[in-house]
Amino acid sequence: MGSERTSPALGSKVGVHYGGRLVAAFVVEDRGVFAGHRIVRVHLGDLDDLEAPEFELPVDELEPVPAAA
Amino acid sequence: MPSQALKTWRSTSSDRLDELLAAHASVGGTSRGRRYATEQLNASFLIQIAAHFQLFCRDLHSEAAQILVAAAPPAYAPMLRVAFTNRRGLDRGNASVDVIAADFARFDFDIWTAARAASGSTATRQMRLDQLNTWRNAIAHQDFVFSAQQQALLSGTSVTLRWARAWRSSCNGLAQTFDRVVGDYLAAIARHRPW
Repeated sequence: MGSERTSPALGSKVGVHYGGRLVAAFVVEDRGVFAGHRIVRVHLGDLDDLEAPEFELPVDELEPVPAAA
Repeated sequence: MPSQALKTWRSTSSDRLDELLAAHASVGGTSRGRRYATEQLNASFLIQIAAHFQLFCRDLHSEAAQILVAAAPPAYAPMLRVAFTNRRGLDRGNASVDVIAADFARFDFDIWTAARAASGSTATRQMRLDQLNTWRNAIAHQDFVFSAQQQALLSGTSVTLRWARAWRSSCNGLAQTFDRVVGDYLAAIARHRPW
């Protein structure tokens, strides 16, 4: 079953799996519900860093912010 | 049933564009003031068509990415999500012919070749999309100095309601064709019709 639960507020800090570890990211866009999943766009690292990774994933794959972040 | 992306294009996006048409129709009279107002509305309409078509392409890409990731073994999901959606061209630039091609190529899919095979109107619509984006950039940057190549592309066109309707119609056709060919491609990989 997919998850259509609401997106965290834009700008929220969350944890995402990237590069083999859990890292901190910001939710920058609620993309809507596709194929039964609510999809958000996350930005890794500093929001001012225009070259930082930015990608989409379902809200049910977001994790708590890692302790080290 | 179409993709969610096509549903949004045909509902929310279409409603927004129709609102601009209604505003255009409500500007009455034949004065010079009216002419200026309608020119501004024509420019706004054109920019909005380009913006909403970009949104459609982006939504279709996100939807396809979600379906492809779901069809892969779970361990592949994190790397596929990044490979498919990290810093796409459609997230930051116009839905130009090249940007659309590059973003859908992340799925190992040649969307324009598939669209041309699916509809004999695609080549003309592709040219209309090029015209739309060229005018869109000129208006957005207020730079109407065109290269020789751009002049040839735009020859005979202008920022009028008649032309804006033609570009919208082409985007409608492309949206329908993209919905179909991306759906076919996903069905072959995921082994079920995604929409």
